[in-house]
Amino acid sequence: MKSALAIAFVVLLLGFLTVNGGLINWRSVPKDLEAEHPIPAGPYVDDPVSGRHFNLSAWHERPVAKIQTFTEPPMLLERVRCGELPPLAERLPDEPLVMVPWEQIGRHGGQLRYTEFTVGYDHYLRHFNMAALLEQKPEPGVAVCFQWLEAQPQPGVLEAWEQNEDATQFTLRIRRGLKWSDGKPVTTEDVRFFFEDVLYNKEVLPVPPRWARWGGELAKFERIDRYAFRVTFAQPYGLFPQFLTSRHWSALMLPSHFLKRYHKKYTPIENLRPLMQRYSYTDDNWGSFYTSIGGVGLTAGAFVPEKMPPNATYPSLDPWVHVRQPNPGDYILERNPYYYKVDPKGQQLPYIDGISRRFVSNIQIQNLKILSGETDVQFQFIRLSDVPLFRRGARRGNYHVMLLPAWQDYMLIYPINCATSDPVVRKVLGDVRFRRALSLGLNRAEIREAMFLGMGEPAQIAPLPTSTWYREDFPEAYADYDPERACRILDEMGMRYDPYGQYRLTPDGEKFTLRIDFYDVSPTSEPGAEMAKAYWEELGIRIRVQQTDTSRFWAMQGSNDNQVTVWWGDGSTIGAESFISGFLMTNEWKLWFDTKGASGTEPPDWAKEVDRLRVQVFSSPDPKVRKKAGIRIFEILSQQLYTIGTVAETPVPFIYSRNLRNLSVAEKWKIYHVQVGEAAEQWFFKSEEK
Amino acid sequence: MRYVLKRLAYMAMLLVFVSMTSFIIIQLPPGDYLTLYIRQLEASGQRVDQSEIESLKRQYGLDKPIYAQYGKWVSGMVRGDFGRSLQWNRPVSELIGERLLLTIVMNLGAVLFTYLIAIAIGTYSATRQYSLGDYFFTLLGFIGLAVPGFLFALVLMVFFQNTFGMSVGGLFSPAYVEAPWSWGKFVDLLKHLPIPVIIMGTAGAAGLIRVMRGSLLDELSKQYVVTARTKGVGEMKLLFKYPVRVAINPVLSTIGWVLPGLISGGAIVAIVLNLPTIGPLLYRALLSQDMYLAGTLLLLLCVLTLVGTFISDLLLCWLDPRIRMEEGGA
Amino acid sequence: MSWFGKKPDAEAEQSAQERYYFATQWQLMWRKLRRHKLAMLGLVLLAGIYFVAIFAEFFSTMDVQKRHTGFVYSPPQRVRFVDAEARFHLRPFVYGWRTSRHPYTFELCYEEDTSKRFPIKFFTSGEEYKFWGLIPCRWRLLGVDEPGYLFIFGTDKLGRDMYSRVLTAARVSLSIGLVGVALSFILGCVLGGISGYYGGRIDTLIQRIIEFLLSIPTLPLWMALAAAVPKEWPPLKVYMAITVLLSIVGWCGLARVVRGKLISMREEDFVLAARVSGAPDGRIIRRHLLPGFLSYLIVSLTLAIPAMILGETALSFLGLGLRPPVVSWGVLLSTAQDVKVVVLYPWVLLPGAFVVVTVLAFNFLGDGLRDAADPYR
Repeated sequence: MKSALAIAFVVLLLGFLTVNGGLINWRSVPKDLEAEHPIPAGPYVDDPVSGRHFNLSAWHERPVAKIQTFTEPPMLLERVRCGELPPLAERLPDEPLVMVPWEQIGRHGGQLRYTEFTVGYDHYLRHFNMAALLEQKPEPGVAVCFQWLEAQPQPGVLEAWEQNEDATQFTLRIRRGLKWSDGKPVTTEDVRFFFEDVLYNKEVLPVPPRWARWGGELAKFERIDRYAFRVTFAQPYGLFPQFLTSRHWSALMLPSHFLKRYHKKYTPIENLRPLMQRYSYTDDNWGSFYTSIGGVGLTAGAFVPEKMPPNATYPSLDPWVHVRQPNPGDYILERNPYYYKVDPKGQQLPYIDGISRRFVSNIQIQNLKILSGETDVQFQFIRLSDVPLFRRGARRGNYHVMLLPAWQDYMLIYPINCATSDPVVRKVLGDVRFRRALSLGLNRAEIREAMFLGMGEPAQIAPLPTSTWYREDFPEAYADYDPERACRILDEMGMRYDPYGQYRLTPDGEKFTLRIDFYDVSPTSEPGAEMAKAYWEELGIRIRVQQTDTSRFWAMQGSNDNQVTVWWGDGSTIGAESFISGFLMTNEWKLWFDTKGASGTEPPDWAKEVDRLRVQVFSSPDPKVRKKAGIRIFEILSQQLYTIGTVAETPVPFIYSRNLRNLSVAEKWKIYHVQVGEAAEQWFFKSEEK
Repeated sequence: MRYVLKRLAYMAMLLVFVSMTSFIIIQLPPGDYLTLYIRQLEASGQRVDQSEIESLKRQYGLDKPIYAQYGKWVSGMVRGDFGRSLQWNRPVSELIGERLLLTIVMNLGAVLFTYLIAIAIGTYSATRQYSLGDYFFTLLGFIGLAVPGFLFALVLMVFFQNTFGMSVGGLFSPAYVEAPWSWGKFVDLLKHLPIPVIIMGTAGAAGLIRVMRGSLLDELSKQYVVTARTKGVGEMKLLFKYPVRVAINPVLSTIGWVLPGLISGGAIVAIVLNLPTIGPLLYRALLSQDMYLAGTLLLLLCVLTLVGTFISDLLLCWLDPRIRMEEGGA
Repeated sequence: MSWFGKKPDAEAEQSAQERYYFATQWQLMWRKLRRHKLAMLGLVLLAGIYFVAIFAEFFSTMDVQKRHTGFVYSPPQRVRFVDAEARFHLRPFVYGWRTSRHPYTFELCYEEDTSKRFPIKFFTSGEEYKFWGLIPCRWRLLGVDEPGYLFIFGTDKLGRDMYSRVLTAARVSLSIGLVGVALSFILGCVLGGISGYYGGRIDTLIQRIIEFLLSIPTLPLWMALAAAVPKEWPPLKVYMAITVLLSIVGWCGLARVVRGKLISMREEDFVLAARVSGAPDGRIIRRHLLPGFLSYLIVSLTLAIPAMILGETALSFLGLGLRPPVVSWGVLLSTAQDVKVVVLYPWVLLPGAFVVVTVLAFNFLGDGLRDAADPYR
């Protein structure tokens, strides 16, 4: 017994000395790390046209060196020589699209490597392989796919577009001579196939996508000639060209020559049965079978090669095409020989020959692979809190860590359901004074320090300074940390403390608990909920934090049970379903708007005005009208505070190999990190000598 | 013989029951496969349209009730079709088949390692009881048991990457992942095996060390050993000629239990280390409610467990005549 | 032998023999156990850890959820006796931190600030807390005066004191082991006892159930069941569910063993005698049969506890099982499962050391108990 005590004492002593006695030096301040910011070099860095797209003829009208010949990528030279591929001049459309690089002219070659841990979906390819119907130039406050309201459309897959006076009819022209990745030409037949055989086909799309239902009716299609067609909406859709800048080509046209093989209108269903049975589809489920291969959206065969039948390659217009999947979850892509973009020197894009995705099982492996330099680019799921680790290892892993603005603008917001089902809470939440008190009770500076490494601006939810809807008072609205004022507001409301002096009661004297629901949609969700609870409890409000999962979360939203939620937010977009104008979290009002009063609860006047303004923003063809409407929406928001914002412009890390060029200037321009991914076709690997 | 037949029939019935239960358990969490899928999309900013959700539901057959899904699965099993995995969109049998070999190799390595060090340390411990070496090696064996596997794995990975500059995470370096089998690929595999084998091996060794030491101590105190020693037989020969072989018996009789472990063992370590084995496959399947894949894997593991216990019982029967008589009497 | 010199030999021999023959089974076991050094070490360590866990709030230095956002990921403070001017202080103290944000890596850099000296006080009276959530109290073993701070094990990603969290987590982790094992024990004994003693149809039924449960491999069973625990259950409910889960495998094995022993022992003469003399079945099981292998049961239970503790950490790591804001070692370790923690903030991994020590201690104790209970040596 005595010896045991002695040994135990020795063990404890050793433990103490190790942890607190200085035997281990826990702190290691990095001393010899200078800031290693790459200096973007190249003639286009300060050029206003960098990143922009021009039709060849438009490009030649500018004071630039004319493109005499087009340069074949060395990877394809052999195939052209032995006749497998036609020469470049025949593969390009009549008017190729000239894309101006972000920094300098590049060179062909190289393989882009990245890791992903999602199965059945890829967060990188949706940006790399995004040949858009119309393009937009990279600028702060604009991100293809997510924030396109202030985009300035440029030609893309579509060569030209016109709209009539009231923006109900749009005439669009496909690039002449544009070909699919297997060499077949792109014509309006492909657009017709999309509209008549997919969009209007109830078996394939029982619920058509929202944009096609604009105005309540399905958009109409009219063929003009082999390359031009017209789309007509029931209501004015002024933002339609901007919308097209965020759309993949599959939103309007599909490779009909390929997909007709799987469409029962063109191939008898008996011939399709063997393939359908292989994937366990029955005859009456043909619609699902077709959709998995040739459907619209990011979950279909164009993006998810696992859904393709064996030995069938989806013809696409994207810069790279899927070639094979060596292991489950791994993808290998190679350049599309028929890609329609060239650089100002006439070299066919993309510069990089191929992409390789490696599947890893979790984020730790991803981080280890970044540190060891086994990847060339990673920008999704890189947490801000990992930046110190990555920056320390940047030299050894041969990569740079850029900090770019997150397209979400606000990584932590608290949307409020003003019409929640619980009547006691509804009365309290419905009172704008209460919401203002909640906002004043948040210590945004502390949130910034604790969760965002001290980066970003404490602000109320508002458009960014670069947005046309920005006004100085928007981000400042109730954004100070003023718990005394908040308490005074609550006292004024009549919310006295209960007899124990612990929590406040409603103005009617009832006890109430405010619930914060969240699921871990982002790393900030959980700490965000916890910190909100701590701050608001200091005001005397009783809070319960409840973590849930995604289906429960949306079920609660659907049944109007949610109260305060935690999410990331779009600061300056009011996309159809966002939190600002779509009242996404207040389902009762959303229903009321969607059904035009048939169901749901009637919202207050200010909410009705917001919805009216939202429709105006989308439909009006006049940019001035849109701007006025947008500003008014945020005026209302900054007064009514039905969504509370915390810190704006928090950055997101973007990690890329030191050998890559044509993206480092994004930090200087403050481009959203996903937007950088969209321009992957003009990235290139520097040559070994430099 | 009748005993064997009765046992087999009973096992078959048990399997049916297990398949139903595991199917239900897999579906227990709220939501379904789409839940995780949509959440991943939402986390990256993609709000999934209701139309797409409906369409996906029908694509994956998730709009059908659970007994229909179960029926489809069972009826397919008879034909050798174990259903399609929702997340990988490939037949389940293919997915499992690809990973089976590597799983077995890795687990076999771990098992061999375990038995080796257990026998070695157990023997040393029994012969040099209460010495410093005994305490030291016993402690070492037990540390492997005490440290949580996932922590150990991560720390080892970071250590290996920082110190040796090895590519960690997975069983092959990037250069060899796609390459066909060759000597170089084999060597690369050997370089990656130490981490999982060490972790799994040390975890399982502790229990066996005890058993080995206990039974060897029993043997060494027996009469014949004392006699041999007085007759002057050398220590090593004395040890290995007979006592160790007898002492190994209880250790080896547990070998039947090893069978299911060959497939599912080391799941946590494999998840952390990103190994292309069955463990992570099952974990992902359970999390995302990929019911056919998860159900088939659970069923497979049950089969192996039952077969393993069966073999184990037979071995025990065969080794120990007392039990045989008792079973015959009961 | 004793403090007062040696007794005459023959008498000593006789009293030793008497002690041996008259000692109860438990006294014999205890004496043998005392000689096993490692087991004693384990016992001492466990007693210490459990004591600390019971009085966790008293031993910790601050509230578990209190965040210090100015001191995110701060390292353990060094306890000193000699200050920067080479003056010796009898009372140990720590220095405060001077923080600065590194301009390139954006981490908070910590340097000892010799102008802020916080002497460590014992038996301080600080913020009020509720002992076991019931009794309000103010006393703590260690602390420093406001506005000082004492982070013995450093802080985590939200600036919460690791030391307090580890000690509080001990309560949850250790009790899961005990509660789970208690459940296993009760269920195993009851069901195994009934099964073994009565035999016949009940025996067969219970055996089949046990075989069914055992035929599903452990980890996948845990994974599957734990994935089914809804995320909105309050922490206590989740805790109970996890405990039941972990004990499922335990009681099966135990029931089998109990049944086996009972079968072999029920035909013994002394049982027959007891039955003939009219003793009820329950009494027979309790007083005559059970003590026969109780020692064996205790050994296997002692060895089952660390398996449960490790099982809980495994489940938390997989994201199934206990979740924040509950603190258990498993939860702490799963949040520490991060490359940046291993490389940059290794003190966050300290709960792992506690897990290792606890598991080792239980194993040593179990070994010692087994050796002690073994009548053949």
